[in-house]
Amino acid sequence: MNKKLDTLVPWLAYFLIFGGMIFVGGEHSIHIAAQIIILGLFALSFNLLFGTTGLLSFGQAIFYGLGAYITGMLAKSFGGDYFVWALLLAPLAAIFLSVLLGALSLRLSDVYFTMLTLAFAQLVWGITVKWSSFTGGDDGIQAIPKPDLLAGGLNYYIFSFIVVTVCIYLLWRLDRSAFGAVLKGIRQNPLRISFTGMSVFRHQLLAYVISSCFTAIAGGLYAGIDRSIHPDMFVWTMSGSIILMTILGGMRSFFGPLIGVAVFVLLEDVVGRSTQYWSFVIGAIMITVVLLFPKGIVGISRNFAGIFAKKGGQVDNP
Amino acid sequence: MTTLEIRKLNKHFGGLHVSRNISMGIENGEITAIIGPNGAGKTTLFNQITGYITPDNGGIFFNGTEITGADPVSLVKKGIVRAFQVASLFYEETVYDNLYLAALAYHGKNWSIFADRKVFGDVKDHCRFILDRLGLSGKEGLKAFELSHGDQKVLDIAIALTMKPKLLLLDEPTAGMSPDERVKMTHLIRAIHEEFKLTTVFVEHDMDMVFGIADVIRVLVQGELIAEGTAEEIQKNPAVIDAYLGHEVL
Repeated sequence: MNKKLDTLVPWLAYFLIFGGMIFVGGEHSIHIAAQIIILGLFALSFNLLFGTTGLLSFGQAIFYGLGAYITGMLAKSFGGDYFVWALLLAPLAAIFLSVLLGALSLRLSDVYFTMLTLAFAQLVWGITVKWSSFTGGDDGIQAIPKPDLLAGGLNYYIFSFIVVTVCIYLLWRLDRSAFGAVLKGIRQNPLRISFTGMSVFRHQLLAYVISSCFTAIAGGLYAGIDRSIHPDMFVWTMSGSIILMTILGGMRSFFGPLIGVAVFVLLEDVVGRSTQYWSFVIGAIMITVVLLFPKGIVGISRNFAGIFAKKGGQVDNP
Repeated sequence: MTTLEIRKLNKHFGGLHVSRNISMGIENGEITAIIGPNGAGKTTLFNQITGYITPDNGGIFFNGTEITGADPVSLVKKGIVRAFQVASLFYEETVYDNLYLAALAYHGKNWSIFADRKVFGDVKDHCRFILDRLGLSGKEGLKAFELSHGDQKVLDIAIALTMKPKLLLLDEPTAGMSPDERVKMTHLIRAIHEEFKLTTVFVEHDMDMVFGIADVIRVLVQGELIAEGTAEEIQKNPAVIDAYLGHEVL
């Protein structure tokens, strides 16, 4: 019973907040909500690698940028009616690229893996900036056309909400699947996984491909928010802030990364209005959370829930 | 019939010769103890049999097929399964989930991406059977890190048994255990061996256990196989007494 509630409550909250936005949100809040769910999808896919499998990729922005550029450039060349088709191509391209990069970088372990993913992403960022005749260089691509149906901010939000929800649902199913259990096993004890007859590399590769696929969808969706994309989507600070948001929210809980993104984006919006030093505030919060609550915001709320439920002190994540 | 045959196996770690021309044949259904002082190369021998490290030269044959240099994953699928000296578990998971992972692999369900993990009845029955058989039933809901040291070692062996091995290798099953736990473990290994007629090889320092349950004892000293035989033969072997057992034991 309690377990059922544990899975139901986050989904209910998700639909209440992000679904409810459709009915009550103003123009600005819809824009913020769209950013949260899209970056949230990025963070949740990233966490499949990080929190679940124990792989710290510092280069997931490569797939975010890839999704955005494929969607943006194709829609720009062929016209707004092809926007959704271009968006469908983004994950396919991500599959090809991630099989290649994954096969190369997953041969290495720990920090070497992290560094190689970072290097690949920086490489692609460099190419995007320099090859301006093809990619638009530093300026990126503006005025990306969309089909009429998705033109308004609200309509595009509804569209993004549906796509993101389906993706999150699939990731959620994966988290609870047999394959998900193997990934968690790999994080804890890769040696024992091979000695139960399962290939660590092949499971990691599939996790990497799936994660990259959903990241590319997030990138493609982002191309439609402001109808503009820029090479910074590839840059290492993009990957870095997703890592921060994931840790802030709590990497050991499925919805933790989404909460981290929401807090981050809201802070940026609220604090950013009153001071240009908003990143200072976020830094301070980040340090506090990491030092005092290593399990992230989800960990804090679980501890409080534990106290109120008189279970006393420590409540473990599932 | 010979289940495992090792021919002239050699392994160096830098200048250290850790396996010196080791040859042995382990018969089907036999329970073998490998004994010897620390640093004799017992675990290294295990690591070569299970594919964790590759021998420099020599051959390993399993039921007549050469498996020298094969990787652990394929060897487990052939039925060569090991347990570890230091229990190698998924410490954040429950006892049940530790077995569940192994059972998933055994039933080939580990690639199932979207189906809820609770649907696999065969996997469930399999875990339940192992839990009951190894006396872990009451503890299935505990996290592996919450278990006593002895139970962690039992769980480690339980994971190996879940893979339905044809050849089971146990690396010091009683290491770090209390005398009570040792006795229990000895009974458990004998019971498992009798029930499943498993070809079993174990490394051990506890001589009561070795002489109590091993059909054949093989003695490694400085990487070399210096003796093999029954408990009685080994206890009387002067080379073994000099190198390992010591005179006062007898």
